[in-house]
Amino acid sequence: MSFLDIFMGILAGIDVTIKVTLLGMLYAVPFAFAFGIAQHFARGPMRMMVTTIIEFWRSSPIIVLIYGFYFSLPGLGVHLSAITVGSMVLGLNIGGYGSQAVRAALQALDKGQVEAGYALGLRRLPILWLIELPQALAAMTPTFINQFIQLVKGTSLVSLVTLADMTFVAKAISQINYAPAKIYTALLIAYFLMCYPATILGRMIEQRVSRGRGASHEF
Amino acid sequence: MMRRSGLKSLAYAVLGVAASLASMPVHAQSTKDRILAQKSVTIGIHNRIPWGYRDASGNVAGLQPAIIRAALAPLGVTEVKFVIGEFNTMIPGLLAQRFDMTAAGVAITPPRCASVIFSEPDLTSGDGLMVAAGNPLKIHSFEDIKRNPQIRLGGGRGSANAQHAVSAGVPAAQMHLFQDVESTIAALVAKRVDAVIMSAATIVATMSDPNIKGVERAVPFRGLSDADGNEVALYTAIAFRPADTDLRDLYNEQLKKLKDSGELEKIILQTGFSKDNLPPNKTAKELCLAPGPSK
Repeated sequence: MSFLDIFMGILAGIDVTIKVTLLGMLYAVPFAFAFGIAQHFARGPMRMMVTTIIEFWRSSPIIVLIYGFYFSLPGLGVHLSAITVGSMVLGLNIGGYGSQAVRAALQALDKGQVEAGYALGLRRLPILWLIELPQALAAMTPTFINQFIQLVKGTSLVSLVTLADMTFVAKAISQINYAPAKIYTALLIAYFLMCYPATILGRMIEQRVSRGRGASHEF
Repeated sequence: MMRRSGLKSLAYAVLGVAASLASMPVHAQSTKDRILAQKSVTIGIHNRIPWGYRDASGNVAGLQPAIIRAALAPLGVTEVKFVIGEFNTMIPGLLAQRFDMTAAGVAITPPRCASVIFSEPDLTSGDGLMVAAGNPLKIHSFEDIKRNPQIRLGGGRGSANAQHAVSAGVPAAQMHLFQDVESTIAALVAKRVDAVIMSAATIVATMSDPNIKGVERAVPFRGLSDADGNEVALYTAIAFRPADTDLRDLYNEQLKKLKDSGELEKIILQTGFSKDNLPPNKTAKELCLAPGPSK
């Protein structure tokens, strides 16, 4: 098999990689905002519960969660498809990291911003929505782009639960034709071609979001 | 403090959503009834020539897929769907209902009999050893490996072949276990290990790949012996979930017909195995009860 044949073969798995990434985002983004904000505001036992859930997803190795949800849950009568398991585990794991970016960005804002909101007669939710989040967004964007790239690369783990993503196809090719160096180089290029445009796009989004806001934030 | 209540209910809503993430359809029908009604069976393979693999046209090929096809076709089951996974996920995947039968050349061993049920054996598979070309370390048995602590032996994680090396007394420090056949071979080519233990049939199929260079099959190779001094072989079969005894019995009936008509032998010889690989004169029950091999 020529290098080009191998590369084109690997691209046959790109739809699954993209699908898992996008479905993963559907879990990651709401989880990051909901739990980041909840952790910022909750106190006492409520905060402990929120933190426990975040830490469960953030501190568990993805590979353990994927195996656990795919192979062990059916024993308890819970059947989730491979794509659900893959995107949910990856999404919530990345969402766990994202929640900390959201919380940190909210905490980094000057207290005066909220007080000014109260002085204008706004209630707490509108203050969050209209004053805090727009400013925090600029601070969290670089971290979010990072995590998106992590998510794309993380999708390679779904090959372990039978989903035919790029890594799975690459392994399938290498199981029939012995040429590991060629095959894994082609796979490397395939992931790079997906992640690098995301980096460039991320920079553009970053500039847009932080336009007109003096200081830039980096974590 | 009233202002906080909105956020508090938001947080509770979030927890509620998190708790309701799991959903569960229920299967009431037995696996056998479902397979016969849908005329379709799903098998698990580990994508390895000659055992069970996805061929160039995207269909499932290999020894046990061919046997399953031949056994179930007379019952009207003509569609064979397949799920590809790592070899060491075959039994977990079966138990997790990801597929109905394994077709990955899973050998009958007493520990495996504790978690799944097997059909009657359909193949005899001896161990083989791969080494660097020219066999520079002159490795021809597990004893040779034990004698030289510098020798590193590679094998498949969870494979019975690697277990034979352990049973023969090869120390864990000398064993290097890999995820699948190609990474084990890659390790041998890259000189990360000095020898590789795997099924002789896998070695024959692997050596037929023109890309494989710099390695060879160690000839002769004396494997693990049992208490009577006979070389230990593996006897592969189809694994089923413990609840699916009716499906297993039905399959065994069909398998017996294939054995009696000579069809099974034809399939074995056609899929890249030799006369050495014909099924043993032993039953699955005997193999499940087999005592551990001698050291």
